[in-house]
Amino acid sequence: MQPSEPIPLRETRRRGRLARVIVERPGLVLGMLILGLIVLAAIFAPYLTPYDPYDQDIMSRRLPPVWNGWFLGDPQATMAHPFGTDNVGRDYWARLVYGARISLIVGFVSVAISGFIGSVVGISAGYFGGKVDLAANFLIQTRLAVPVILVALAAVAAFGGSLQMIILIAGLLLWDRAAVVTRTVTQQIAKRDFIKAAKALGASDLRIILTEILPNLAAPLAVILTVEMGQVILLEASLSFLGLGIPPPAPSWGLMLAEAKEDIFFAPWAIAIPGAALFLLVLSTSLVGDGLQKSRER
Amino acid sequence: MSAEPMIDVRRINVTFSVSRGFMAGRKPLRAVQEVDLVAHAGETLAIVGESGSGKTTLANAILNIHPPTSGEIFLDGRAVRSLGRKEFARQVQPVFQDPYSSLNPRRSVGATIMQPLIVHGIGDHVEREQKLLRILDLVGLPRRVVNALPHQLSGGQRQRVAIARALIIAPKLLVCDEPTSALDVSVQAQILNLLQDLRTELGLTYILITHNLAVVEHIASRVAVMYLGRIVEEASVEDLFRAPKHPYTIALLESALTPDPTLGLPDLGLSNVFPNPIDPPSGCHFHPRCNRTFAPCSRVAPRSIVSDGHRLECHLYDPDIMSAHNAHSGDL
Ligand code: SF4
Repeated sequence: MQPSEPIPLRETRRRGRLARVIVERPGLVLGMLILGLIVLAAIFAPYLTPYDPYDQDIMSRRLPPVWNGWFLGDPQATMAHPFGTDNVGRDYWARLVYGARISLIVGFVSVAISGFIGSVVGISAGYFGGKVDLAANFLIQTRLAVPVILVALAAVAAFGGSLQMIILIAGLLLWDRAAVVTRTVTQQIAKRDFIKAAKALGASDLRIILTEILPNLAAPLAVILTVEMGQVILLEASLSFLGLGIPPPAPSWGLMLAEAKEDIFFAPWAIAIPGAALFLLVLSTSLVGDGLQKSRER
Repeated sequence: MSAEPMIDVRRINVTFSVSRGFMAGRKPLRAVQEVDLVAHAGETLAIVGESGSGKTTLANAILNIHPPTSGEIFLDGRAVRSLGRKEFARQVQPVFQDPYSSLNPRRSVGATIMQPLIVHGIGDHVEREQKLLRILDLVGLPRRVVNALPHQLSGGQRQRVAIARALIIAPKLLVCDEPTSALDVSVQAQILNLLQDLRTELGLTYILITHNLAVVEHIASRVAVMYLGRIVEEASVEDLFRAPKHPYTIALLESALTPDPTLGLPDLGLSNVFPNPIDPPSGCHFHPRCNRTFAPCSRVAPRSIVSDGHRLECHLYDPDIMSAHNAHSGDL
């Protein structure tokens, strides 16, 4: 009994791997870069600006961003407020970086909640099948029949808007996609023989789910949850824009858009800046989600 | 041979309820019917049959993955129903056909092989690693594969990993479901030899599910031939290969062997296609394809006839049926 077959252990050369990823998945790398920068900006917000995002300065309202000075010769533009100020004189850059915290907290926490609910529903449906699957499908259909915005409006009307409220609404409502995907993937995994081997070993269902199925779900879950995060961030911005989300004076990007819309002809940058930030953040999540999906398919 | 068989399968049935489509209601599918089997310690009992014959369902029943609907299985004299799942698992372990599917792609070789010890709470970290190294040597895997993931290994190596995982808790019975048919031809013999060596070295008992008669001749001591859920003939390997009796077995042995496992059994030169297991033919299930079928075959199911450890279900060998039949045709 000697090892008689050749051992084709695949060589993985560490160097050149990063370069290869950049060349093969530019979208993924770009998305991660943007997302990473926004996360860093949110974490280190106090170090990036000397201003408090809530401090009003009546003397310097609606200042244009500094590049208006460079390119349009606007004399009001000043390096002191690189992104300008809003209609009550709050520093726009400060509001932007602190606002990233709101978007990201809403995004991460509600996706954690919805990812958890979706996985529990989807995994039990896919693993146990039969009646459990029927019940899970009923739950998913019911959830799909619920119009998210309407429920959000009703909940905010009843309980008042707040960060917690938005997180709860998004987390409790947006788990359907996670459930559908984990259900399908679990069904595929459950058919494979290593699940049978674990059963023949006497392993409990919970152990099989946690140690055999969950590790194989990590990649597909990461894909949908990043995409879902972009959706949640947009939902928060829309609700806040409508005055039904985070209450002022918090520096939510949606709120910044709402406050700037009256001045759209006099201070268009005030709309453009938070709009661009929102666009970049959501774009980065879908780039990352897309890139992860493509890497999985290979 | 000891008095108490290693495994004693008594008249088990496995019945599924199959949906026949929208609004059509459900029908029972009798995948395994009245199966009796015995394997003694140190024996290799082979179960052969075409795909759809119910041999994998039988394996799942023996493995207690899908327990039989009725009937009883005894392991070393104790009813399997009365054993705990883990207690049973310690004594009976599977080896599956496809080592690409039977290993968790996310788990390293070492973790895969040690997993049974963890599930059963055997040993501490140091002891587990010692056992791991010993079993790697035993199945002929180099020690450096412990950190490899399954996709980095060849098919033969993966099957060795699967065998190591099955053996690490020292079971007495191994149920091997087509253990070589997903492998390259060049590797098949190596795995078969490994299984042979392990049996003598560790005193194992095997139940070998296969469609490949060459494999059976190579390592089995007894053979049971399955057709549509029933064991139609069972005998020692020498007996069955030298003097097959059941028309189905004869057809099996006469046909040339195809090495491609996906083809199932080679074309038997038998008329008709494989029947639908939901609607098995009346009388002898084999009669639409049998080249020796006669009057009683489509009406009466054949009895089980045993002589000299050679068991079969066919009217041709039932003296009562034959004398009645001959008397009847003599009247004509
Ligand atoms: S019982 Fe009749 S049909 Fe069945 S195998 Fe024997 S001869 Fe053929």
